[in-house]
Amino acid sequence: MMFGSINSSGAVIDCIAEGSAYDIVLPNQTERVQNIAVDIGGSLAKVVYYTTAAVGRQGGGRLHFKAFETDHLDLCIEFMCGLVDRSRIRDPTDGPPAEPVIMATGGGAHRFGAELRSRLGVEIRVVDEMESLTAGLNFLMREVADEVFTYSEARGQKFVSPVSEAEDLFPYMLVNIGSGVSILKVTGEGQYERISGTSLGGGTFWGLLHELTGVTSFDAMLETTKSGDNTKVDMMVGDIYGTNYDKIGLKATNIAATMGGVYRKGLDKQYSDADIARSLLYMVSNNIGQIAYLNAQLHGIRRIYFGGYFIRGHPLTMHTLSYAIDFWSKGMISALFLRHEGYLGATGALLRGEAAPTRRRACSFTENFSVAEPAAGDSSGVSALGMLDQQADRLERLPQLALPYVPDTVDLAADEGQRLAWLAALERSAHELVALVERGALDAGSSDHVGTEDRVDAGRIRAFSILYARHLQRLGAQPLAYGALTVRGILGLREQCLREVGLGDVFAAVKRRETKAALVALPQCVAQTDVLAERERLLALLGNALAGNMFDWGASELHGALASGALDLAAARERISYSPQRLNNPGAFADRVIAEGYRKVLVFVDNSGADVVLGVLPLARVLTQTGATVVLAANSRPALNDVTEGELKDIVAEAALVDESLAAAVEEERLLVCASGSAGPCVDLRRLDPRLVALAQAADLVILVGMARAIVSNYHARFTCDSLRIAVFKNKMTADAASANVFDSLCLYVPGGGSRE
Amino acid sequence: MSTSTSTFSDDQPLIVGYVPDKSTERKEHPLAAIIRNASESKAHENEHLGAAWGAKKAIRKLEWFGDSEHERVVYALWFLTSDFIKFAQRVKDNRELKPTHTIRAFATGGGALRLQTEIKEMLGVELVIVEELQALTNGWRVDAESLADSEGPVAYPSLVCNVGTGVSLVSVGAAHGDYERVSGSGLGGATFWGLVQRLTQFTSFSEAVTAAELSGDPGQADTLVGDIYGVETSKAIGMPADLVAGFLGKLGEGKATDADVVAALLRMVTNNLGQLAVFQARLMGVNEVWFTGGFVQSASEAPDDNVGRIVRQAIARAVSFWSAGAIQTRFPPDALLLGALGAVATSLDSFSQAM
Repeated sequence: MMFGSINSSGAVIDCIAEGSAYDIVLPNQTERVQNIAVDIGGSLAKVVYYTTAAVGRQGGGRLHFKAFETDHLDLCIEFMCGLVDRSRIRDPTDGPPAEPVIMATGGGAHRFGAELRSRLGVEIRVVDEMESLTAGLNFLMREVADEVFTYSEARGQKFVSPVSEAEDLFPYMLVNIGSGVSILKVTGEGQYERISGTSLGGGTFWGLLHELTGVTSFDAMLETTKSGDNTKVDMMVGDIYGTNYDKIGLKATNIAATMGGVYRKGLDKQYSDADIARSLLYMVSNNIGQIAYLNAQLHGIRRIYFGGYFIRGHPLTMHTLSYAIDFWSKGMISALFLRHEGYLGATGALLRGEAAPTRRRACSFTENFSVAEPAAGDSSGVSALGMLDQQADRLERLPQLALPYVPDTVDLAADEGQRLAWLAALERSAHELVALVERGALDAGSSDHVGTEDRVDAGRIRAFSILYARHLQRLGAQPLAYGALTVRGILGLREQCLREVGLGDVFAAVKRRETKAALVALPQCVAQTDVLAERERLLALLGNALAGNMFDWGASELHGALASGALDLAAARERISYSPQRLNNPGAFADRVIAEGYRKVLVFVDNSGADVVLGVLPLARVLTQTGATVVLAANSRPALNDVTEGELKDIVAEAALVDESLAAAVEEERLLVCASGSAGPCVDLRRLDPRLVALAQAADLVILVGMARAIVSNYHARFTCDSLRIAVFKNKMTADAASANVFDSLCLYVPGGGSRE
Repeated sequence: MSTSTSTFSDDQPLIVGYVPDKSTERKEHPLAAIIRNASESKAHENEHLGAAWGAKKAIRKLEWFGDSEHERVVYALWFLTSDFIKFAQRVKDNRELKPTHTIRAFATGGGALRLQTEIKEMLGVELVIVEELQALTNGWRVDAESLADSEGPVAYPSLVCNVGTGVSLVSVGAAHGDYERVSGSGLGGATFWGLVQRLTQFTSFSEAVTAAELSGDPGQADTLVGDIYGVETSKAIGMPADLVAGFLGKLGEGKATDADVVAALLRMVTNNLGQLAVFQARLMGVNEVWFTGGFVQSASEAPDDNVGRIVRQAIARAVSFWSAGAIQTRFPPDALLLGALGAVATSLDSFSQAM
């Protein structure tokens, strides 16, 4: 495996830099194990387990995925022994942990049940295979952002937007291809029926190919198919008719009969093992595709998911299944595949347990790729799975979001120029982060009261840099390894890697320092705009918000100025060119505020320091003066120097101490701070903290502040209410994507329901 | 008047069907004599050749296609397509068959196009190509309607599943020329035979199928539920231990004899046919499926052959399994001859339509 080094074989990554070795323990990899499930199939044994922090990380749990060859079940059992031990870790705040129960499914659950029981010394509870598969699929489809995809040779892998509503999810058909093929119809949670199947599946392919070619491993067989030419062993339509058979829509290149050419002396076909392998792969895939389609027709189902060991990410297999479904449905239905297809059963079995994490309360999961495993049995090695981090709340969609919604502005997998530029820029910025840490630039200044937690550990930051660089390299080589490739995804991954090496908030001290300085400047800043007439005041406030947005540690272009403290609001204003016109209409916004005002404004804020204190707060203050209630949505968890919910609450409280107008707004609960639900610099407006969604119900204006929230993501988002974007194009990639220049501004007001351009 | 038609495809023999005119009906037609001589002289010839040459006479109504007679005697001759040159040479050498003018013959099958020039050059016969499924469905109509008196009227639309080299599922309506290939599969007769040839020592279709029937145990080659779960657990989870989980999945274990392998291949191919046919029948809302084609009635045998019976039974079992007995399997009496019969009928049909 090309990038096997990213996989966590243990809880340690070895980092060798500048001649010295660091052993960095990944703290989150040694947490207490709460639930264990195993799916023992004919070829692979898949383990899914759920961990929680030994000392209560709030609501946070994590699902892990791990696969073993069934032939080496010993390794799997050994691994599970370790998990059972970790399940007995005592939580000081809790009573003794409950005796572990292992949920088991798959054919091997019966066969190896007794062995598991005796060797692990715990209770093994067997869950029905079909029940596990469907429970797992329902869960993964809902919770994993890039779970479902279509595949064809011409178009490659295309991810399908996740569905959250039950009516969009059901009914569907799951075609599970193992030794044989099971076809399940799923009409709801826990409602499924095996409607059909065939015994002509992976086992047939395996048996025939083994006997015909002597190849003994499944992967070797699949490898062989890549170079094979089935037309050398198959009877093609062209072999019979010499041409297309147009009347019935058969092309000369269609297969008339699999293996029908091997005995035809007249055709004198010369063939190799690889040709037979490809022919048989086509036979089995085509046939399954056809039977699946016929079943879908009979049951009036339009969504067909394919899973099981036979597929294992093998492009040619997926292509053939897709081709068959496309052919028979005349392009009306696409075959759907799953990134976690190998883990459906184990995941479902885990969720069927009485102590399953999803049973306790509503929650959401986010895939965390900082420690990524190759997808179970993924023969092509291009797909990897992260861990699933649990949030204590069920994330929800912004009610004012117009559909369809795609959060990301650029698809980096499709746009090579943007991809290379972003990957290079992000790698550079990681190096710069290391340099900043080594210079002590991110530590608190000497005048501050400095706790040791404020000193960013240089060893850890180097470990981060190595871990993150490996991910960037992998994504450079295999852009779809972690699902759809977007700037939002990579920026999120960066935060995940930082947290994974134990660096929760590297900018904590910087943020405090800058916020403190900005709060000092706040009264004067407010006084300067308060003297202006209403329209000029609004325009000046928008200008300040843009200028504040220059105080961004995420922008490499500004590190020097930020670190030296040379950037003040006035200087920042100077660097922005307030163009192009098509992206800037602050006057229209001001007129709208003056004419009607807003009842409730939702602001997605960006950086701490000058940005939020001198840019956003004064604007929010004036809006509250016009009678609006303003909800400031800040990150739930740290990302770059973005202000977090907790920090912003403190900022608002401190600002209220020096400004009467703000104090009144806070007092009257017309200035509120709420967590956005986001843990990265970008925002996915389908996944917001439910408290924020509740507050947002009556909002008639949404303001998106900053490059990550307004340009890199949500640039194309449309809203049913008015919206305002405030950001500066601070690098070439974002400027290019919008046909703008670096340091151009985006101050764009869009009335509700309208499109941006 | 005599119309001779031919059907060609690669694994089925070339079949010449013709309707003799009244004057020649009572004595043996010279073409039939050629076939009879060839099969009688098989001791002196390549045995394989002789065995594949045959002739058959049937009485059929062709009124639907505009024939003026109530009933007709229809002859069919067959021999391997690869023997075409030998056959043509004998026709050429036969004085009685010397044509005085250019004969037009209706021809169908994949090989018809390919041999068109050769036939013109050697025999002076000009082929009028009949589209294969048209010939098949017309032939099926003649054959199926011949059962109407004894088994009741044919229901339209009907589902005809033609299993030759590959598989075509055709919906046939009541009107002239009303047919549509609604589905098909590349997993057909040639796949079965290709795999038999690659996996066993058998060199003849009938030998292989007969051996499978006599001594083959497909369970030696197929992965059974019992192989996965064990017999006891299978019982415990309520699945029959002898249910097939994966066709041919145990082939690699080397325990299966040649007869076992053929039995397993036959079960796999017929089971799949049955499944496709049953699903298609349900989609069409019909309760019977007609099976035709060389695989259903092996060509090298007499029409009432034992090998054909084995295959037909296997198909009927599969249809019954997948439909839980709700869908009937039907075979036209002369499955082998349908293409040629259909070409004959088409020639009459096109004549009457032209009027």
